[in-house]
Amino acid sequence: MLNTFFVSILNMSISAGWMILVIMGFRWLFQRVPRRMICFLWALVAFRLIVPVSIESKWSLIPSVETFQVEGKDTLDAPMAEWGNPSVGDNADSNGNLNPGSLMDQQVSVSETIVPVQTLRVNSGFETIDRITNDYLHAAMQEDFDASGELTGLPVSPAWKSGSRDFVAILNSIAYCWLAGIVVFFVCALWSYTRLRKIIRVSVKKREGVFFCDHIATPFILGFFSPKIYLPSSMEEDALKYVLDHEMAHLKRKDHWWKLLGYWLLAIHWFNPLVWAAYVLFCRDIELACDERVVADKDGGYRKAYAMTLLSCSMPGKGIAAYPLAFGETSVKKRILSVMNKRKPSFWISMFGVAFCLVVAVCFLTGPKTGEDVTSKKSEEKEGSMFSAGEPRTFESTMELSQFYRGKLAGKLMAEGKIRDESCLYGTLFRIDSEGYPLIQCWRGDFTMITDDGQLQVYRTDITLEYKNDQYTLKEEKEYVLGPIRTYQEAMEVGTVLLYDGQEEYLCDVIADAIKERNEKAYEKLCSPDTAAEFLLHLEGGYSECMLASRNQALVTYTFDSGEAVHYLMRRMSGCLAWQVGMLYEENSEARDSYLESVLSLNDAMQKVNAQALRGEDVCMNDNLIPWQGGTETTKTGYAILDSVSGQDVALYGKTSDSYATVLRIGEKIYPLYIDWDSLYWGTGSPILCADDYDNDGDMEYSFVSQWEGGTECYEEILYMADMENGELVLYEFGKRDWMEQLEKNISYQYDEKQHSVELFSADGGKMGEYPIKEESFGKLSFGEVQHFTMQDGGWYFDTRGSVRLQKSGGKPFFNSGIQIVSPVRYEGGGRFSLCGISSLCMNE
Amino acid sequence: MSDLELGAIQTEFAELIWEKEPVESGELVKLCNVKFGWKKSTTYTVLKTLAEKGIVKNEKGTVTAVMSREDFYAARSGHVVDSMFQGSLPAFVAAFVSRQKLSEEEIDELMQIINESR
Repeated sequence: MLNTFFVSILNMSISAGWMILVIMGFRWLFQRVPRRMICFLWALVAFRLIVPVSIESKWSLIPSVETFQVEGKDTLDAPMAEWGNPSVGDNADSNGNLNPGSLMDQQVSVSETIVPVQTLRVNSGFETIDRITNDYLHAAMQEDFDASGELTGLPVSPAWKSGSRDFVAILNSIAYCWLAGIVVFFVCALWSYTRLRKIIRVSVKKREGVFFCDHIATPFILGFFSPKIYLPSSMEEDALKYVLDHEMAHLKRKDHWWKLLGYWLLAIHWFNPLVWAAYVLFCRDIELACDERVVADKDGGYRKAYAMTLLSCSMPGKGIAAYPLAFGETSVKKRILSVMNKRKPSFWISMFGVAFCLVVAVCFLTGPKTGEDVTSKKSEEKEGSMFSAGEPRTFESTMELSQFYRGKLAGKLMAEGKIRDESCLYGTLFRIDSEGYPLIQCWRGDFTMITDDGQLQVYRTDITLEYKNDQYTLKEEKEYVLGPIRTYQEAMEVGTVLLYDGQEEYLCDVIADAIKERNEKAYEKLCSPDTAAEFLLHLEGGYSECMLASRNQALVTYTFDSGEAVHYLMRRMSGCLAWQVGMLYEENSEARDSYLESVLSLNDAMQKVNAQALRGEDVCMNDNLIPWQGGTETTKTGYAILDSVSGQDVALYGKTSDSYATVLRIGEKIYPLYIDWDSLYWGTGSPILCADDYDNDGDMEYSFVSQWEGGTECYEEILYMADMENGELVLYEFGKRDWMEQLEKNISYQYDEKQHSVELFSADGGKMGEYPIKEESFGKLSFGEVQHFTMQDGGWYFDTRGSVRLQKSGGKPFFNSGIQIVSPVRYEGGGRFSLCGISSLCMNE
Repeated sequence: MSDLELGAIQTEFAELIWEKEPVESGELVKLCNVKFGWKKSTTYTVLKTLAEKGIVKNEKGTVTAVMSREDFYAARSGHVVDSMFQGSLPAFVAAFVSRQKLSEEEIDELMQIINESR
């Protein structure tokens, strides 16, 4: 508290200093200006010295109203509540992968006492000074910060994450010195005042408010509320009139108050030599102003007599000793000259004086516009560099937060001509950590920019927020461009690039499509895990190796020139062709090692498959060899038959000890499929391998269905089609995102409130059917929670159930509407499937 | 004897005593209150000062003059009291003008300025 208070006084003093210099200059140059105007200028200075608040204006001549910025606290907080664990389970992305990013090392460590920490920043308004001083300060404080080991973070300014306990102590002692100075002023004042009062006691009233006193050498006024004039008893009678006129003028001008105020301002700002200078000049100006006022409307005779009084009272005489000019006193010569000068200041000079006063008021009572941080560093587009925005912001919601950052980045990129509009930027913010009370959260936003030639650049923003009173307050902000990654260190710092935009559509789709539109070649890179990793992360200076773990998971190892390697778990969403970065494994991490082991064994198994031996394999999965069904392994090869095509030398096998080792054997050729054969068993009993030339291209295709649990009561079936392309076997999928898209394109519905029924329409507007609703209310109709692929008459059929939700959004779960959508599935080759005859039926339930 | 230098007010006080002596201290206090507006303590302070200078004395509540009026005025040399308190006037007090070191030339110069002006 004391520290910050002292610093604000210091800043006020510095601001006032500029003003004082200007006024001193003006005063010296323009001596003909009426003194009372100069006194007015001093009054403005007083205002500047007392009132810290300043309005910003572009006319301000003050370099900075906050030359010294101190952040942090100099007192211990009250004991805090316990430091809680991160409160919710959804860290990182929605798949539950916690990003082991490098920024965790700036996490605040838990401690039982809160150490007060403050940091100093200089913002004098002169860039060179600021830069040099701040660099030095930062280095000095960083040392202390580091040395002090665990330092519990208190709110620190955006540009710094450092602070110093030593600094707190140093500043504190300076502040106490300052206080001591004030005390000295106070004591001196008190002492001389009491002494004077004692002498004043022996005084005689001349008339109301005027007293004679023996032991004083010069007339003066004493008293604040009921001021009295004291005159030396030895003063000549004729001098009386002029002296009284002068003192009365003082009273009318309230100088006894001004001088006292000045004294106290001097006491507070005693460390500032300019304030001393100002006070001295102010005292002189008061006397001159007073003289001016007295003789203003008097004739020459009066002036002469007045001047004589000045002279005689100032002469050492009758044994009264002379002293050198005391504090704040003008030479009598100057005063006499001023009095004898009959020329009134011209109208223009007075006007000039008034104008100058106004100009000074505006220029010095207002502060410079701040807005963006005046001394923010320029951003460099290098990995790991940072720039800060400077002003603390609050946000009401994370949506607002995300929009703000996206908008800010988009604005910047648009200004740089890199993107056309905000829609070229993909991504959102997501939370990576939260803890403590008040809640401190770390959020990260990976915003992806796709250039016109299909290249990808990710901009990352890391934010630290404080969440309190339903508001997020920005504490710290770091923005940088990701990549290229050339070393292990850099890879660790970047972590993973999440490419998640927080909505239903995963970004790997959206971004992949965006890239595909612009550059097919670049898109191809995304379709393979290793090249996808290189492309997304800008990995350079090394080579990558890839091992599939399943159809949608792979382990990519990138080895740099230095020999160090990083391991990424790559994955892709079901039905998506493009890969994304899932997780980063550190070297020698247990998780990696165990995962690597399983992936290695899988791939090993896949490579060692012997077509010949498999052909002779007669053990079927049907024979209860599924491990968790308590079967025992009695196969020769370790593989068992899942199903075979009658009349063809084609069979589907699964390795009993590894459900991802699935293999399709066509004659002598083995094609590893990396799908989970266990998923082929759900609900449908044993898997069915079907063969046909579905697309009429002269080749056989092989198809089968898997089912996996997509959520509670939610099964998703996938139709697989193994097709030959350029001699290679490609396994295509017809999954939810594909058929859902087709359903949405082809079916619309309308709710009839009177009939409480739903009408379904096909794409061309034809009515497909009308179905009464069993439930009491109708919110919306949806499809897809349950669906089936069935083989009928040698062809695949698709059906799904229509479900009614009672409310348009949220609320109770769906109810079976009795509506069934069916359609045959046509495979057109090249991975294209279509629902070629969508119709609706009423289900009998 | 600079000891005998009294300010105008103290001189008036002495005059009062010369006029009224011998006077009871209590009576003196009342008189001073009326004439000067002094409190009891002030009167006693001044009395003490004068007593120390050997001009008056206060014996068992009765104030009498030690030095006669004539002797007093005869002994005064014209030097006036120490001008105290000029240098130590509080900084927040507005004074009329200060006693300053002025050379003969400066005084003459200033006199000229004043007189020559019409």
